Amino acid sequence: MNSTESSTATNVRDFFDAEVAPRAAAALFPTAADPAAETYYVRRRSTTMTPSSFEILGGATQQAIEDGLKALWTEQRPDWVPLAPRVAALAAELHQVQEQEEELSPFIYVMF
Amino acid sequence: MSRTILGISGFYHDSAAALVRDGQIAAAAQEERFSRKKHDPRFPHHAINYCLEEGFVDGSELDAIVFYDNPLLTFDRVLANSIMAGANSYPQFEKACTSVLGVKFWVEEHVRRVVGSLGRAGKLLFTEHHMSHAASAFYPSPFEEAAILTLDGVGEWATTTIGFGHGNKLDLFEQIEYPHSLGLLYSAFTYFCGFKVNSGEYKLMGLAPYGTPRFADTIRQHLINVREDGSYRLNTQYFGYLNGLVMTNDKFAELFNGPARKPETRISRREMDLAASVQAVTEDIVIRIGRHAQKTTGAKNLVMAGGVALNCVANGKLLRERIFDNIWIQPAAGDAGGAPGAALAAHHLYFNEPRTVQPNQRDSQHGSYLGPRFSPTEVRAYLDRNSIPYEPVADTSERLAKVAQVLADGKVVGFLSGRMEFGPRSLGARSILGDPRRADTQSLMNLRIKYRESFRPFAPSVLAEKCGEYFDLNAESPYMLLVAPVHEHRRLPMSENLFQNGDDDMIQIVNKPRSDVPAVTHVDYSARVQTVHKDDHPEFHRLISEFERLTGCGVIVNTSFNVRGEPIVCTPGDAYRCFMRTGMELLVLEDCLVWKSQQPNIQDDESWKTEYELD
Repeated sequence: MNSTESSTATNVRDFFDAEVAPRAAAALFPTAADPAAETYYVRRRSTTMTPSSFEILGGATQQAIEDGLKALWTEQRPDWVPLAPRVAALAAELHQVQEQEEELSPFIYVMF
Repeated sequence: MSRTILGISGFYHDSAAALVRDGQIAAAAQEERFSRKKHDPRFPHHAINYCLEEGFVDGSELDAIVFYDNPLLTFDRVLANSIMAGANSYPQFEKACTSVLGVKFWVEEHVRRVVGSLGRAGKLLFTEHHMSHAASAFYPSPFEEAAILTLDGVGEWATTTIGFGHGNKLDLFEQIEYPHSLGLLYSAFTYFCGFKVNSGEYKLMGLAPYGTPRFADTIRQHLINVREDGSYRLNTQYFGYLNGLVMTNDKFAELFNGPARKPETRISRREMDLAASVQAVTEDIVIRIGRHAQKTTGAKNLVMAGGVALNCVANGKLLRERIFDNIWIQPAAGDAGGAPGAALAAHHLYFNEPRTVQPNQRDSQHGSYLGPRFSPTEVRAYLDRNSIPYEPVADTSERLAKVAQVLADGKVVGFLSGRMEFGPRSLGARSILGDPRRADTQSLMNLRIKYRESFRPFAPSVLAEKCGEYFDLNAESPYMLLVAPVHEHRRLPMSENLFQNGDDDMIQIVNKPRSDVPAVTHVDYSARVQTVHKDDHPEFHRLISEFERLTGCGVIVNTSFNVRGEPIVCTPGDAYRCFMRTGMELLVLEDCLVWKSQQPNIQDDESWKTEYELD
């Protein structure tokens, strides 16, 4: 690991410690059965794709990523909107040091 | 207006590219076929180059380039998952950041580098993962309208969706979301039984008929809560994928009396019964969801895609329930199919182009023969250049008569003919063929040709017009995606003792004749049928017809042209290498016959057997 990679890893860790771990109490999705639920199907917010819904990222730039995340979270998770600049900055850092190293991710079952 | 669109799937597994022209899939291929890395997840630059060449199109002439899922929404799920999983999930979060933030967010750069342009749209388009699956299922189907069902491990959030397609419109109404996933449940058992996730699911399905579903109730009581309408939730306490690096955890192991089977160790009765159990639960859920989809949409037709739609046993049972009049399943149902799906979605939903259903009531998947072809001239040039002895037989009837005779003599044949298949199944363009009448064909082909587990069954390719004589199947199954029972009058009695005495030696069971086509009859008398239509692959159809003329049997064994762990062959060179390393007697390369007896001794040592990582 070179110094750039080390610094990036530190930044990912810092982001996790500062923004992810403290939110751990949040219940963002169900993790078990709900005896009261008649069905577990969820109605979709939008049922089809419109031309604008194909255009979610306005380019491969840090700003485009930040804008894309803000647009997504403004609608669905307003409290995450402030995270967008930091996530976009992390993306730019990771992009600089990471090519796809593994031919097949060992975590493919999680479907990143 | 003429439109040409490139669809791309990648960075997860089975990367692929597809070219859609005027709403028709003109070319499609998986990256693994070129890179020779099975399930290759890397950006599919070889597959893209092939598609552009096949379409005689330059990148700048493309109307649009479309990526098959939404990286922003994927990261949303990754972040939510890590928040829920807590501090212990950091290793997983770090990996996810690398994959999503470091690679997937920058897909446009890969496109620019490989294609040299973003096409006339001037921007990269993105679809939703399950929209891509849905589009891949509905648009090429033979139906004007149909219910849509997509099932996989997970897309961005969705793991199951239900919708409806009509004309060029496509709507998905309902979904089940991560971490609740039928695909991940099946993959958890795949892992626990010692097989590789995302490739071993097929083995688990093949193993299921050897077992009894004695754990099915345990699964229903502890792991998955299923509603009458087929919707379900997993109990995540038993799974490792939320916060760890494995599919299942200690609690899961406790439930099933011990740790996961180690890969490549002997398969025990427990694994057989686990396979049977999760298969039974899966089938029940798929049928319930099918009923719900029919009730919701009122449709007579169903289309399906997503990795779970490759579970041809469940598909066959769904068909036999007669919930729908007709079912069509995208042959590249896994992520590779996201490439044509994304392009088709853009064609119809972004550009709002109309859709035309084939007038002959057949699909527009073109038999899924959408990959590269090699002309007889190219084949001969390859053989001559490499000083490979061969027999050119330009007359098709004469050539196929010779091949059929070799098969009738019980020999195994490698067959490369026409455009390569798109999707995980070999359908007669890149196939290893055998005689289904011999009881020892299954173990012979598994152990001496494919070098794979002896229990794994082989599929029959049957003349479409003769299917009813062999199998209880009242539908076409051109893509080997429906399992059907062998007709009762063809079956031979099996000793119950083989199963019930706790005998784990599956070779005994495998070698026991089960019907008059034993090599393609699984131990539960089922068969994974490919119906061969003369319009889809005329030469393959003629070969089976010739075999029938010689033997009275209109069925041949058809398995993928590869050895274990190797992607299916693409080029004549791939085919020749595989042929020389295995026990095949004859290799057919278009109009050239390559006989093993005439070949020089192979220079390879045994080290090639480690060339491909075991799947």
